[in-house]
Amino acid sequence: MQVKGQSELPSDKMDVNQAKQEHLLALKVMRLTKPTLFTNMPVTCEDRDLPGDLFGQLMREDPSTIKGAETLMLGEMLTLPQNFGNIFLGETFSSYISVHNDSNQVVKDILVKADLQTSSQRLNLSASNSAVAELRPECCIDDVIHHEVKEIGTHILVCAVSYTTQSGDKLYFRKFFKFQVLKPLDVKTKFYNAETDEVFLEAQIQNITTSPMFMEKVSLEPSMMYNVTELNTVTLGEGSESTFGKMAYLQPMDTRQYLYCLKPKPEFAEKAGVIKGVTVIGKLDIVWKTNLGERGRLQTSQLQRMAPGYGDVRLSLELIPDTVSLEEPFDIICKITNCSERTMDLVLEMCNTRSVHWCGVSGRQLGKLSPSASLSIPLKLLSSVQGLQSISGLRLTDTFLKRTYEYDDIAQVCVVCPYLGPES
Amino acid sequence: MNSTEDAAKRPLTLDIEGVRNDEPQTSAPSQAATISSQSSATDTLFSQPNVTDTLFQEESIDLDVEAFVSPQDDSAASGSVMDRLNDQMMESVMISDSPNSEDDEVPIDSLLEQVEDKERLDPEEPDEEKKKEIEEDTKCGVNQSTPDTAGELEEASVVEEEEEAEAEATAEEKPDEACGKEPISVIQAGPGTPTPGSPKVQETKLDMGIAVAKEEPIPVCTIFKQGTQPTVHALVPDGFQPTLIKSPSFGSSNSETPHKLAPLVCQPSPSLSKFFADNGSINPASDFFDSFTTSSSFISVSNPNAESPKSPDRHPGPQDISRPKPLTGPAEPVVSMTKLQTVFSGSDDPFASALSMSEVDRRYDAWLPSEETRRVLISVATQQVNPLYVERERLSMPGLKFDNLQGDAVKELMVRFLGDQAATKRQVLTANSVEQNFLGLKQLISTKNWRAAVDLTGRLLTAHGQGYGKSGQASNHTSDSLQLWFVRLALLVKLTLFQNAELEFEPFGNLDQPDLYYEFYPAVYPGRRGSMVPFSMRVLHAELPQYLNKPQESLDRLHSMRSVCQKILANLEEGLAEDGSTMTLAQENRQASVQLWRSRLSRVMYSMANCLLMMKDYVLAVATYHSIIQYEPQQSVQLLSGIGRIFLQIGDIKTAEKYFQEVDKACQEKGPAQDTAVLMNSFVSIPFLILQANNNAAVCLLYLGRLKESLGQLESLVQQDPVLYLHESVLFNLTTMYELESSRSTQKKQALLEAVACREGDSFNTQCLKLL
Repeated sequence: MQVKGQSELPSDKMDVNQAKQEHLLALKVMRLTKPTLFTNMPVTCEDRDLPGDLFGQLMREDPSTIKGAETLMLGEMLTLPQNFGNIFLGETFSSYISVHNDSNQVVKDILVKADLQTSSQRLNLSASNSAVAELRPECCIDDVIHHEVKEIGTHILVCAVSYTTQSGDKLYFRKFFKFQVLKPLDVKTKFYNAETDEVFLEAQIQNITTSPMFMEKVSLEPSMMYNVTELNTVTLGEGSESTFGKMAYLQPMDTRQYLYCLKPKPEFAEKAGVIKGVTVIGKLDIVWKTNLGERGRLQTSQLQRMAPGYGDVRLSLELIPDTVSLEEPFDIICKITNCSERTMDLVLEMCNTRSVHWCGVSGRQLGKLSPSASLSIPLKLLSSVQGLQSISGLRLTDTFLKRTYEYDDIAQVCVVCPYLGPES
Repeated sequence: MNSTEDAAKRPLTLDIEGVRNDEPQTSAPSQAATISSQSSATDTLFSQPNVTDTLFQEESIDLDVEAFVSPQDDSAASGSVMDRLNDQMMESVMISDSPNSEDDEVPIDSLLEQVEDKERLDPEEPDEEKKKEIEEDTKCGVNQSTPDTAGELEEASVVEEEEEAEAEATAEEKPDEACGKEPISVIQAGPGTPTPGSPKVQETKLDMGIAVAKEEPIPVCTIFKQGTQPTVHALVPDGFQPTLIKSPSFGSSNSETPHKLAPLVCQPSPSLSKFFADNGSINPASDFFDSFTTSSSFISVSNPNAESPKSPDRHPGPQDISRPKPLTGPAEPVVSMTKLQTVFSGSDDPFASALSMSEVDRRYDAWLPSEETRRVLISVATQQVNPLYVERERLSMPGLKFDNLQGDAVKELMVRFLGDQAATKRQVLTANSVEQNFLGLKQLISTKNWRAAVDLTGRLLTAHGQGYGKSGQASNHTSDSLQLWFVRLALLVKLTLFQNAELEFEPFGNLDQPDLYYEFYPAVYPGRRGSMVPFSMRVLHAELPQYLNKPQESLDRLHSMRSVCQKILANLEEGLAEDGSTMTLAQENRQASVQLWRSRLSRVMYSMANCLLMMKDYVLAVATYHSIIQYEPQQSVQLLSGIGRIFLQIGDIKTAEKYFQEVDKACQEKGPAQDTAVLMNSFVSIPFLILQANNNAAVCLLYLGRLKESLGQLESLVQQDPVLYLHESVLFNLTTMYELESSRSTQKKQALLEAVACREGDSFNTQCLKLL
C-alpha cells in the first residue's frame, strides 16, 4: 500500500496533527476472497533413522495434517485471504467493512456508506442506508458488501463514516480503496460457412489470469434465426465425453477451442438466400469457477457474421451424384433463388466445357421469379473425361436488366469408366 | 485513469479494443453507447455500431468496458465524472498507479489501496478544498442522471452541514490517517527488511558468540588447523535473524518463494568460525568439545535406532583421514568382476558367512548405485583401488555452510514489543542446555526447538570433521554422520530454510558418490553393503527443489527414485535380493522386504503427487494420488477426500462433491466399529477434528459478517486449550480478524505472543502473528 502524497508533507505538520484528537471510530476494510486450504509440508523419516518416530509424532500432533495420511500435503484447515489478490471482470467483489469504536465513549448516529466508483458510474453497495443509533465502545458495525464487477479498469471503493460524539460534535471521514479490475479471458472467434446453410463457429477461449479456471459452462446462445449444436463432446457408447478430457479446467494462458454448428431455423432457411450482410449469430455465455467455487460469468457481445454474398441470383445444388460413369448421362437438380429486391425474368444457357456436356436445350426460358422466390430445375449432363470433373458453364440471363450471371465450378463429380471392372 | 493509456498498456488487448476504447473519449459517441445499453435490459450489447469491417474474419470479442455494459449501466456522464474524480485524486493524493495494467500479477502485499481524502492531507487550505469538494459532489450529482443522484446530493449536504465540524476535523483526522495507512491483513515488513530494531539484535548476538568462545577455550583439534574460511557470498548479512516465512498456503504463492527466501539465508557467524580458524593451533578451546567428545579422535555418537552391528571398536574419526587404511579386506578370495555381488554371501565360506550382513540392514540399506559408482565400489571391494586414491571429484565432501543458527524469533519479538523484562521469562532449550549427543538432539526436536537442534547437529558434525568450512575436504562418512546430516537438513526444510538446505546438500550431489556406500569402507563396515544415505534423506533431497521453485528437478529426482524402488521390488519378486544379487531369502524376510519397499514406493508417489499439486498440474496430481490407493488401501478415505479438496480448489464443485460422497460411502462401509479402530490407529483424536471444524466455522462466520462472533469463538478456544489451538493456521486467522476488528490489534497480538512464548519452541513461525 502506498499513499505517495503522504511523504510530501512536511513532517512538522504531521506532528501537529497527531497531537490533535483522533477519530473515535476506525474503519477497516478487507476483501473477502475465498479462503484457502492450509497446506502442510511433510518431512518424514523411518523408524530406523536417528529421530525414530519423532518426525512422525510431530506430524501427527500437528492439527493441520490429515490424520492417517500425514504425507498428504493439502490440509483441511481454512485460512483467511492474506492479500487483495486479483479481481476479474465477471467475478463478484466481496468486502468486509467494519467500523469499530476505538474510544471509550458511546458514539451516536453512525452512518456508514460504501460506494463503488467505476469509470462510468457510482454504485451504492451498503446493505442499509439508515444510521445506527449508537455504538458502544469496543463494538463494531459490520457489513459485507457484494458487487458483480461489470467493468474493467480502476474501481474505487469509497467508504464514508459520519457520526456524532457525546459532546454533540458531528464528525465525518472518508477512505478510498482503489483496485484494478482485469480482463480474465481472451476470446477469438472464426466463422466457417458450409455449402449448406450451416455456419460453424470456432471460439478460442484463453485464460489470461494467473490461476487455473474451471470452465463450468461455455455455451452459445443463438439468435432467433438459428438452432445450435455444440460439437464439444464425443459420444462413446452410452455416455458422452468432453473433448477436453476429464478435468474441465484451463491453466493460465491455456487456450481451448469450442466448436458450434448453427443451422438456420426452417422458417429462415427458406429465405437463406436473403440473409445477407451482417447477421447476428448469438453470443457466448461463459461461466467459470476458481478457488473454492469463486464464480465468474461473462457474456460476449453479440457475435456478428457477414453472410457470404450470393449476388442477385443464387444457384445451389439440391441433388448431385458423387460418382458417375463415363459417357453416361446423369441428373442434377439446381435451385435458383432470386436474392435481389426485384422480380427477374431468367433465361438458362448451358455451355459445354471440354469434359462436361449438357444434355437438353440451352437458352430455355425459366419464367418470372419474384424476390426471395426460388425454383428447382432438373438438368442432365454427361462427362467425356475420366477423373474428378468440375461442373461449369451455366449462364443465367435476366432479360429485364440484360444482365448475365455465370456459374462455373458449381460442383465436382467423380467420373469412372464402367467397363474397367469386367476387363480386369 | 486515462483509458487511452490504459488500453495501450494492456498486453493482450487487441487493436479493435484499443480503437473502441479511444472512441468514447475522442469523438464521444456516448449517446450511441447509452442508447444501446439502455435498449438491452439484460443483455450485454455490442455497443459500437461503427466498427464493422474488421469484425468478420478472425475476430476478437471485446470483453471490455464497452462490450460488457452492465444492465444498469448509465454511461451518459460517465467519462467526465470519472475523469474529474480521478484528476482530483491524482492531484491530491497521487494514487500510485497499480501495476495491474502492465501485468496481471498484483503485488502480493497490495491489499486494497487505500487513499485518504485530500482535505486531510492539505489541512492548510481546508476551506478551499471543501468548496472544491462540494462543487465536485454537486457536479457529480447533477451530471449523473442516475438513481444515485439522491445519494450524491445527500452526501453533499452532509458536507455542507458539517462545514464547521470539518474544519476542525481536517486537522484532527491526521492521526487517524496515520493508522489508516496500515494495510489490513498485510504483512507489512518482511523479516529481511531492515527495521530499526534489527541491528541491535545482531550486535548482541555477536557479543554473545564471542563471549561464549572466550569463556570456553577450545581444545586442540587438528581438523580445525587450516580452517580455510570460505567466503560465502550468497549469505548476505541482513542483520536479522532468519525467521521462517511459511505462507499458510505456500502452494499458491509458489512463484514468490525465491523472492521471499532471499533474506532468510543464514549468515555464518564470523565470530565462531574465525575463532576456530585462527586459534586452532594455540589450543585455547580445550573444553569446547569436552561435553561430547570422549577422546580426541572421535565422538561416541550413536544412533540408537539403527540396529546395525557396530564396527568393533572405532569409527573413522576425523584424525583417521591422514592415516592409511589397513588394507585387510574382509573377503580375501579374488573374485571376478561379475561374480562380485555374491562375494559376501557364499554360505560355504565360514569367514564370509560370519560377516554376512544382518537381514534388516540389507533390507533397509539396499539401493541401486549408478553404473559408474558401482564400478568404483567393485574395484574397492576387490582391492583393485584403495579408497584413499579414488578421485576426489567423485567423493562427497560435505561441510557445514553456516553455523550458529541460534536464534529465537519469539524472544526477539518479545524484546521488541514487551520489553527485555518480559523476554527473560521466555525459556527455551538451546543447544547448550542439552546433552551433546543424539539424546539431546531428540530432546530438542521433540520440544520443537529445531533451530537449537540444527545447531547441535552442526556441533556434532564439526566434531566429526565435517564442520563449518570443511566442505571440499576429504572426510569419512559413517552411518551416524549421515543420519546427522539427514536430521540437520530435514530440520532446515522444516524451518523453511530451503536455501540453506540446498547449500548444504550440494556436496552430496545426487547422493550417489561411492563414499556414500558401505562397500567403500570395507575396514570399518566389513561385509556391509548398500547405501549409507537413509532413504528418507533421498526423499528430502528429491523434494527440496520444489520449494525453491524448481519443481521439475524434484520430479526428475522422484521419478528416478521411483524407478529404483520398482526395480528393487521386481528383484524381490524374481527371487533375488533387493540389489539384484542372487541370494536365498527366507519367505518372511522377503515378505518384510516387499512390504518395506512398497511403503517406500508409496512415499515417493506421495511426494510426486504433492509436487504436482504445487505445480498446479491437477490432472497428474489427481491421477497420482489415485494410484497411491493401491499401495495404501487403508488411506483410501483420506486420499479420496484429498482429491475432493483438489477439485474444490480448482472450482469444480460437482466433481468434488462426487468424491466426498465416495468418502462417505467408504466410511459407512467400514462400519462404525472399524472406523474407531481406524481412528485409534491413525491417532486421529477427536480434539483435532473439533479444532478443524471450529476453525473452519469461525472462518465461515466472518464471511457472514459476524466478525465478533467468529473472534469470540476462536479466542475462547485458544484460551481453553492453548496447546492445541496455538497452531499457525488458527493464529493466522485470529490475527487477521484482530486487524480487521480494531486499530489496537497489536496489543491483542502481543497477548498471543505471550501465550506462544510459554509453550512453543524456537521453531515457531512468528510470521503468523503478523506483528512485524
